[in-house]
Amino acid sequence: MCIKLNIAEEFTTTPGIRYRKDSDYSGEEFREVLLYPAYLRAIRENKRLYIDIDGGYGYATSFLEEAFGGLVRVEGVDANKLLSILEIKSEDEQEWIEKIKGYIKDANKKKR
Amino acid sequence: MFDNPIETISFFDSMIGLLRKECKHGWTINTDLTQIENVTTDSIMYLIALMRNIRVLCGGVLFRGNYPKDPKMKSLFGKVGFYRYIRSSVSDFQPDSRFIQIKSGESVNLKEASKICDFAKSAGIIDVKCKKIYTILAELMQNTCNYAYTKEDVFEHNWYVYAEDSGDTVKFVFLDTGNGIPTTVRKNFIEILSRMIFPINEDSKLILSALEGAFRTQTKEEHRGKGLPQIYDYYKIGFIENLKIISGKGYCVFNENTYAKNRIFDLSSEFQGSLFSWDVRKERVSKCV
Repeated sequence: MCIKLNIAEEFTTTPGIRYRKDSDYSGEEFREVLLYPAYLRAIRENKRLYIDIDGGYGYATSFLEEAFGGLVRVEGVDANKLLSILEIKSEDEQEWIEKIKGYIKDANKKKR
Repeated sequence: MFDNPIETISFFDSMIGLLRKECKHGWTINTDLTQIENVTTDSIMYLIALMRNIRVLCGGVLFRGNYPKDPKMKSLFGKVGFYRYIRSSVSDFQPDSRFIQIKSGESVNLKEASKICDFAKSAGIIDVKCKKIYTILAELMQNTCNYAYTKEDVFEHNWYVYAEDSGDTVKFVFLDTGNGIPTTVRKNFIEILSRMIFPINEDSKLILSALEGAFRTQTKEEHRGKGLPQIYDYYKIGFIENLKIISGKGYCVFNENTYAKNRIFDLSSEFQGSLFSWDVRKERVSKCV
């Protein structure tokens, strides 16, 4: 059982950059409106968090860093817990999967 | 610009210098294009950017223009959308499906980036590569808005982008007329530069270092500054080809995946801004026999 989130279907096909002040559909907005609530729900219901990042035009690095790294850095989420329940799906751009995990780990290192 | 940088930049430098010195409010400036025999789109793009900036700098300046006598050049100026930016009697050229006319914007506009990706897709670029194009455009627009200009700048905070179907590849050009990568690096990363055993002085090497991510791991906000390294990664793994950058005095042309074939050096004149160009190769789809 898992909580599913599809960025292209539920947020936008044209993701922006890091902050709300700089673009529409920013990583910050995605994290605050969809990702963090989905994470909290997954924890509450003891489910995995499944994020589908395919289907849109693509991503800026800052969008993904702010969304996923920001969970740890801004929202104070436990990085190990997040990594243990998080599943990223991407057939189009598989390299983002490892990069997203790297953003989470980097954010955790900086938090310490 | 990339083939003949010294002469081209010198020409634009003298134009900027003259207009800054002489240009007055209310002037009409005629751009005589009749004698042009050879020009590339990046230079047309830069000319547009400078004209817009001169308008801001001098206020109330009107640009008029004619068109080159050479039919190919005349056609090129029309197809890339030059006449949309000046007052001209030249009637609109028929749109050419092989070109995206020069687009500009002052903030991050990913809708525009998506349209360019749609163009690339219609030209034959596969979806996976189109996503990389989107990423590159997003990174460059972001750099323009975050780093390329300062509040003291009098120039408009704009980016310009252009794409062209060149047969086997689709060519992209992106420009901003901000401070340039070397100036931005010197300003924001002075601490890192001062700690280097062999400090980097050349603009071209500062650009290369920024591409290689030298300034992303030691900043206070180390989660930032991943944009240029991402673009360089796409070049290194072959998603994009012929990556070319002019910024400040730095000139970097990456033709092969070996340093020996790359051309990285400083120009004698300074380019006002940053100019990027890259190609994306179409996939050859094997036909069933």
